[in-house]
Amino acid sequence: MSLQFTIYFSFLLFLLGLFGVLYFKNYMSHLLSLQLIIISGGINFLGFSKFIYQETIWDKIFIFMGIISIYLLIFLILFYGYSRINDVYKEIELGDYRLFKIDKSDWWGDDCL
Amino acid sequence: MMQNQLIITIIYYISIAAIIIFTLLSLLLADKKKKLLYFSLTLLFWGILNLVLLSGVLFFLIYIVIIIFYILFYMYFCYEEFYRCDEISTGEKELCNKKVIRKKLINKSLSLVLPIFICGGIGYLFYSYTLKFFREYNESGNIQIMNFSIFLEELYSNCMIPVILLISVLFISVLWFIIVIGKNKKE
Amino acid sequence: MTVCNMDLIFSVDKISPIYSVAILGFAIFISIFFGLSKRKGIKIFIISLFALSILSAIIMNFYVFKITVVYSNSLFNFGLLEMIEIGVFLFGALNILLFISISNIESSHFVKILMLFLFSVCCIIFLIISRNFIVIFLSLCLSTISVFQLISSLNNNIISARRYILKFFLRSSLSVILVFFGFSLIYGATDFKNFMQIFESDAISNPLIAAGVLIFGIAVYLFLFIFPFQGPYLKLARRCENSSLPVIWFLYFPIGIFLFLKLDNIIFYFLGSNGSHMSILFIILAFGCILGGNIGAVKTTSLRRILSFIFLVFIGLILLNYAMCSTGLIGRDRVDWLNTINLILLLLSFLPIYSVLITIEKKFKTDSLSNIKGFARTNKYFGVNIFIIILSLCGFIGTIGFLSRFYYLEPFISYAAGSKAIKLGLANIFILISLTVAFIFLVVNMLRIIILLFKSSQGKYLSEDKSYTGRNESRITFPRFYYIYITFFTLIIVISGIIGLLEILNIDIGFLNFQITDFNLSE
Repeated sequence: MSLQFTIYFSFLLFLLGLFGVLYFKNYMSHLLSLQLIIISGGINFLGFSKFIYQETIWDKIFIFMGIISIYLLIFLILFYGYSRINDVYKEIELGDYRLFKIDKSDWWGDDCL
Repeated sequence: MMQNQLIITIIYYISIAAIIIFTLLSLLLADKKKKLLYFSLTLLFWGILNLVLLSGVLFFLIYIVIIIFYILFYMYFCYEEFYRCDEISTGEKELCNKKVIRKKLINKSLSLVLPIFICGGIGYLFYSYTLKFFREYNESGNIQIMNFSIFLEELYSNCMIPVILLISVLFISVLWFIIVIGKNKKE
Repeated sequence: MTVCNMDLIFSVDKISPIYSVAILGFAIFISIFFGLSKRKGIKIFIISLFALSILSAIIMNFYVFKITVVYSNSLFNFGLLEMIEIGVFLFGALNILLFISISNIESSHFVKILMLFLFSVCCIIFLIISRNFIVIFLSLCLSTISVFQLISSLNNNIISARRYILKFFLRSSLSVILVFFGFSLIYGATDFKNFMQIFESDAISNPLIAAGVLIFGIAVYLFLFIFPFQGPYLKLARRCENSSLPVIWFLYFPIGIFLFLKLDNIIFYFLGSNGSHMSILFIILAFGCILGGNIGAVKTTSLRRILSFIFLVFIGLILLNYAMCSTGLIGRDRVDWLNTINLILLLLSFLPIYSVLITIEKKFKTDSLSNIKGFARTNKYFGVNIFIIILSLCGFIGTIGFLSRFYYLEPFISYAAGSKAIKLGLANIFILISLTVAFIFLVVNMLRIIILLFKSSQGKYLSEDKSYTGRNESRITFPRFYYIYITFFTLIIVISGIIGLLEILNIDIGFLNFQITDFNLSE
């Protein structure tokens, strides 16, 4: 367990991610490749802070803020893509999911199908 | 003490091996569900590696965000698969033309070989230029593991404005959700 | 050493550059109360409020600089260069507000779209003044998020643009993630938290710093869609809604440019230490971008694509500035000056031209080059103004475009005149070829547009029964405001061009406290 091994391993992950971005046409493989680069960046930060530096807080804050903002960006892009590609959102929209809904058939008479 | 160190080292190497295996599986498999499943395992072992690398409370803080993201991603993907009316064409119709097949083969091999060369080249350059640095660095003595109170104190004292910015982008994103989901009627 | 950030906002003895952001934030806060309104009066009120807030932010920006001159703490840095960048950027933002208002005022989400726009302006100002790595990265990411939200909202009803918006911003997210990785490598070399500290220390010679900066450079390269990665940008430019293109040019691209300018000191260090390798790299990248952009513009008949390609040519010129500095042709101050003047030239030229072109596009429903045939004959006033602006892009004497051309060619002119200040080596010859290609092709592209503007269009415009209707029928009606708008830009281009020319000829004007052609932007 050494710094050299950790960093070379994280760089290998980075190269795998880079390969995925360059090779795969599929959007999911592309996204997973992006995640690999994020993972390798995180390992770099933590590896350097464990093996080299005594003060280890700054990099944790960087990782925290960085990952939240990157994942927010990726989530928004994905949401935009999925919100329009199919008709799913219409079906969700038509349903009524209120906690309390006044319906006559629940209180009086027959239930209409 | 020695036994604890040994356990940590074993966990370290197991998680590294698992990350590599599940990463390769998730990239190479064609089935999207399996891709997501194996990549979530990659993330799980990444989280364990973070714990080994003394991330402290950060493990919980970022892992929750990543898990939520993955659950939503998986849900979107399942809805797309289940409710989609028209079939997604996954492949082109195979033509018997030898020239077309040969051209496709050349394109595919080029698109495979070029990234391998680029990544290999970058990897070699990185290895050769940083070898000296890794031989000469000085390892630190005391290690401080971050807990939640230290984290909050640091955020308040140094990073309040970035935090305010982050929170405000979440509020602004609500507006965006309303625009994207809602119907756009022109007056 | 920690600094309490609450002092940044609440201290009364030191005025902060955050105040201009605070003004914009206050405008967003007021507009929240009107966010769901669809009444036209409210929309006009919000437009006025936002325009006033941007103007106030510009004034506050200059005022802060006048009071503090240089402001620096652990998170932010504000000096002359930042003041100019914010001023130019806010001027562009004011114009984008105009474009968004004209194109989207009928939309039911208009107020929300404006709020997204103003928020993106705030995030980009944070990027300009940021100093600490956390703030740089966070403001980069949040700027990208807010511009994505703005563009996707503007193109909500355009089905053909959606796929390309996804591709465009997936590329941007890759760039942001590469920046994250780059910072992780820089962290390995040193735990300094800003580029100036790294530049002034011994850590700059660490290979991890070089690796991190290289990853940074690749990230910015991808972010700016420089050749050969220009595909998603051009596809989106062709399909997007009218006001989205100025958003991409003057809100999205400045993010990448400002991020690149943060690496100024370190790039100059590497240019100095690695001399020939870095020079060759910058020359090749710049030449590729300039050549590709110009050839692309010549080969297309779509007006949007022509402008989009020419925009990439100017990005290539920014790279060429660094190449020229590395070979000793120009000094570092001149690089900053040329970067600024090119951005100002783009702003002053593209905005008025685009405003006219979208009106033409609305009439003909396409953005074909043939739509402007005979435009200058039927709309003489606009034709003359567009002609002057295009001459400025060509570098005609007496316009602001001439100033940037002159200082690009000045080293070669002085060499030809017998000066021995520069050596005309292979690299400099290649730079000269790149400049020649850039300027000649640019002139060719612009001449193509000028010829079409003044070409006779008789017989082109027919009524429904296919009879010739005459020239007056093809006249496009512009709102009165457009006359003032285009005249304003033409006057700035001509007046600043003339002032600059007088400075080059060493004729003292007397009433300006500064020189347009020669001011030190570096601290």
